[in-house]
Amino acid sequence: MTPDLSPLYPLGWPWQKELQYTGAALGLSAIYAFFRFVFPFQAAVNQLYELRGRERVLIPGETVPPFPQVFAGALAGVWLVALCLLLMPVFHHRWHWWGSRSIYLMRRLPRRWEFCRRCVAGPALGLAGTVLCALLMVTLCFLWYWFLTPAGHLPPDVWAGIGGILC
Amino acid sequence: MLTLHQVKKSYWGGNRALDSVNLSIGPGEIVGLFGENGAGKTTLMKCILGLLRYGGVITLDDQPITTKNIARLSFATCEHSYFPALTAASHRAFYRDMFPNFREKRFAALMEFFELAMHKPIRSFSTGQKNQFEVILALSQGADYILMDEPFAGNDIFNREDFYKVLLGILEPHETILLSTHLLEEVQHFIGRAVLLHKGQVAGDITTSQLEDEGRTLMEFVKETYRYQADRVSQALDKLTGEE
Repeated sequence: MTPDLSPLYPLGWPWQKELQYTGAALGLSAIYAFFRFVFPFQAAVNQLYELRGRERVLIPGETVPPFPQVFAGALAGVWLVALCLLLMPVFHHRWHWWGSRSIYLMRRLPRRWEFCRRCVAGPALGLAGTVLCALLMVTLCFLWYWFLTPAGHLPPDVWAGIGGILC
Repeated sequence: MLTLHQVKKSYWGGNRALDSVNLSIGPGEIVGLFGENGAGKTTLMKCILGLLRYGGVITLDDQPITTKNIARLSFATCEHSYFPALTAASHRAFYRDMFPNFREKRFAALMEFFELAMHKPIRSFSTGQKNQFEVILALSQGADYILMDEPFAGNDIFNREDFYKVLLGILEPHETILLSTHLLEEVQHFIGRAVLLHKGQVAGDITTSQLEDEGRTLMEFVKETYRYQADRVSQALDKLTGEE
């Protein structure tokens, strides 16, 4: 059962739809992040091997690139969702001009922050979800990277160039 | 007492909408606000409600209008301030939550009187019903000062008549109405005082009892105040036909 989050959105705004779309976009972003990570990672792991006759053997001393380098660009979808969510307060604000001027009511409420809260709180919740999704994907992919890299072939600093995660 | 002192408002381009308006409206008054299009009626109301920035001072019982006392003012506008996607029941719930003095009984009685649906989105209402609902919300908010900006635009005459009667019947002695309208003759028996705006200034301010004492109608007062030239239409027509 979905909790009633209507107080976080403008009155009459189809907030369930906004949540559904946000959830779907985050789901797609997570899938994109996963595959955007897995293919370069698999390519990096393949580089650890060489063919000796018909047998693939690990090249001694060869390492996979640090995690941020393999993961770079994987969060692009998540950032796109975040950007859309940052723009949502503008649409929420404009909602009060559609079909009427409910802005006149919202701007004369005794609760000073009610109008602001209803414009911003929903997208802020979505942004929190986006950050969680990003953290989840970073964790999941890192665990994948950590456990599926052949032993002894991790770089000395797996987090080198950590800023690359954000790209 | 709602007091406006030296209230000025200019829009972009230096267009002065209000020019040193001084006005006091006491509890229980029913004031008609009249003026030609662009005289500043709507601007005046929006300034009172804090929807526009202005120069000068507006006070409610000597206190500036802030979130602390804004609930004492309500607003019905021809532009409508309800949420079209919401039902009347949802509006009631929101008003109940926001305005501690929300008049539940009055809301129910007026909804019943005007036979408005409680569970249909307001956007499905006719124009007249939308106006009625807008006014019902303003009357039910529990405000002491009810500002109405041409609330009956689009309503038929019977509908408007009904509303005037209902208004007079339900208003409590301390409730004040500031009604902006062009329907002079219709409201003259409903209002107790007429304020005339002309080019952003108060051009006339008179009580209806004064008018009665002087044996003048509201329309005559307005025409005199505006120096209305009765023969301007015939003069214009003469000119036009003369040209041909």
